[in-house]
Amino acid sequence: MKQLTLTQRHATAQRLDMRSFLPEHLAQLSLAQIAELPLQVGNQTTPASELFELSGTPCEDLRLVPAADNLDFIGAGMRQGELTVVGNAGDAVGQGMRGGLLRVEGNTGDEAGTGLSGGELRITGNTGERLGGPSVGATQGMSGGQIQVQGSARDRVGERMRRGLILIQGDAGSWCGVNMIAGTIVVQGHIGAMAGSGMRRGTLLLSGPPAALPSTFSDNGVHDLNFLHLLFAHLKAVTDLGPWTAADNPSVHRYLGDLADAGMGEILWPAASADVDAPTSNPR
Amino acid sequence: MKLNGIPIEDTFAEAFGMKATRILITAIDARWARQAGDTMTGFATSVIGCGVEAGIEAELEADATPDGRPGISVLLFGMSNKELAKQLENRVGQCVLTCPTTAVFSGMDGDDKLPLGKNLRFFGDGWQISKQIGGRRYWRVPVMDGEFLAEESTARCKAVGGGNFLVLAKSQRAALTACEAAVAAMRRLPNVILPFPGGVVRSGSKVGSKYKALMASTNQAFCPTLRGVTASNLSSEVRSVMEIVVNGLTPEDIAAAMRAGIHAACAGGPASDVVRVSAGNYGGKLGQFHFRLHEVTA
Repeated sequence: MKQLTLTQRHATAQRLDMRSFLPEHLAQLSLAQIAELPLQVGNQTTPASELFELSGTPCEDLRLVPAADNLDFIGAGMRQGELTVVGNAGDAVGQGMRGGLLRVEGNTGDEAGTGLSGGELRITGNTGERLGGPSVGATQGMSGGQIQVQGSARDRVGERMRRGLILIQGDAGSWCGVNMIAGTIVVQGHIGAMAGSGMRRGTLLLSGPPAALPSTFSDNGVHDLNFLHLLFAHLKAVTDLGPWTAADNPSVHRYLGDLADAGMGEILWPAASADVDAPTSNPR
Repeated sequence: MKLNGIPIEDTFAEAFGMKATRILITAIDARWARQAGDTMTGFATSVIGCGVEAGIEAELEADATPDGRPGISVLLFGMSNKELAKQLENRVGQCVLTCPTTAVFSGMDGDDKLPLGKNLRFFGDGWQISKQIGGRRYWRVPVMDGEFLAEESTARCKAVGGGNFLVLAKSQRAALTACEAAVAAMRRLPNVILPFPGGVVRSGSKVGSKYKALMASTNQAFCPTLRGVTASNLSSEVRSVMEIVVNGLTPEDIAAAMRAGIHAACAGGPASDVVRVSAGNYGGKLGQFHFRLHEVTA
């Protein structure tokens, strides 16, 4: 099987912008041409071969082995092919991605998958803030595709997200789904404060009741929602559904909000889980 | 040629090109899934007056449906894509959306799409929710029993309608019994439906009429009560003729269904009072697909 591997020779003090190292671009070049690709290190331009050891054959299966976690924009704008990061990625991994598969076998910095509109981003470790949110200056977050984080994510997951699926198998920080326009966020661990604040539409699916919700969400009761069968069937392929007893009992608590906005966003969690008191409201 | 001692006439069934689609309907149990299917395919025997020909193709176990509930697959056949789309939307809107606990999904993949939940979603009056899961788009429409879930669209394909054969018998009961056996055998096959009541039609038609307004009329050559005054195709012992019409996604599907049906109809031999098996042959005026009885039963 053909594969091209770029192994970082040594860590740099300055952050590196890796956005031009996309599988679909490198597949068109020879090893010699790739070796000459310019990389900006501080105020110096350096050929790629000085920073990376190249091995394998140029193709749309790219493997990147960083020596530090300051490689930013890995896979940004990627349209096709596969890119695997063996180690930690910096900020904005998969930003503006439109297709293909981007795997990070490690942690990432902030803004992973911001503005992602297609393809799949998988992170085996933890990720920073604003996962799947808007790119800097953009009015909308993720608008398609799928992001899976096997670890935890920090604050503002899916901010202003419009379409697509974010799965967080660990915990999510505060302001998860803030100002969400539509789309689906699934959090299997704990979730921080102010989840769903400013939500217009979209779904926030939790594994248990949140400790608190914004006061502008209202309880709409316990329901069997047929679409969850489809969602679970899709998720089963990539994660253990844990407390969800998908096919047997998809009954969920349904809170709708944010009533300070369009109010059509929904926060769901299994009815069977800790069916005690309604969550307390966060002050606004 | 004879099957179990029953003559098979050397003629052909004449069928024509149609457009078809398949949808899947699920519900809380098999009974309610079938109820939705029966309702939406109830008035769908012939394009002559119903706009579309439709029927339940198969019952589906829970593990064979998208949402893990029992269901059915329905095939609909129309003469044009436009009419098929209109009938699909009307029938799903009036008969499936209204039926308790149901959901509706595409039963066919392809680039040529027909709207399914795409327009029905507006019943939600703004409360409807779009969900994209695994590259497919669904609509969740709030209704009084919970949510109606409908996939955005289904696909359509070219198909064949009007495959048929006639069972000529010594009595109505004998013709019907043979047809019932044929229907049971044919309904076990995929990709076909038998659109008429119980799968059987007793008013087989010919093309045209003495009345200008009618595009089809009774086929007097097979009417036993007119044996003495028409160019009848019936021998003196025939007192009842019934027809089975079959629509299928491909000519091969129709041929397989006709073969299964004719063999089942003839299984009782002459003792069942079945006299002969023939077919609706309109001299090439009706359609381009010709299924020769001797070939499909061989």
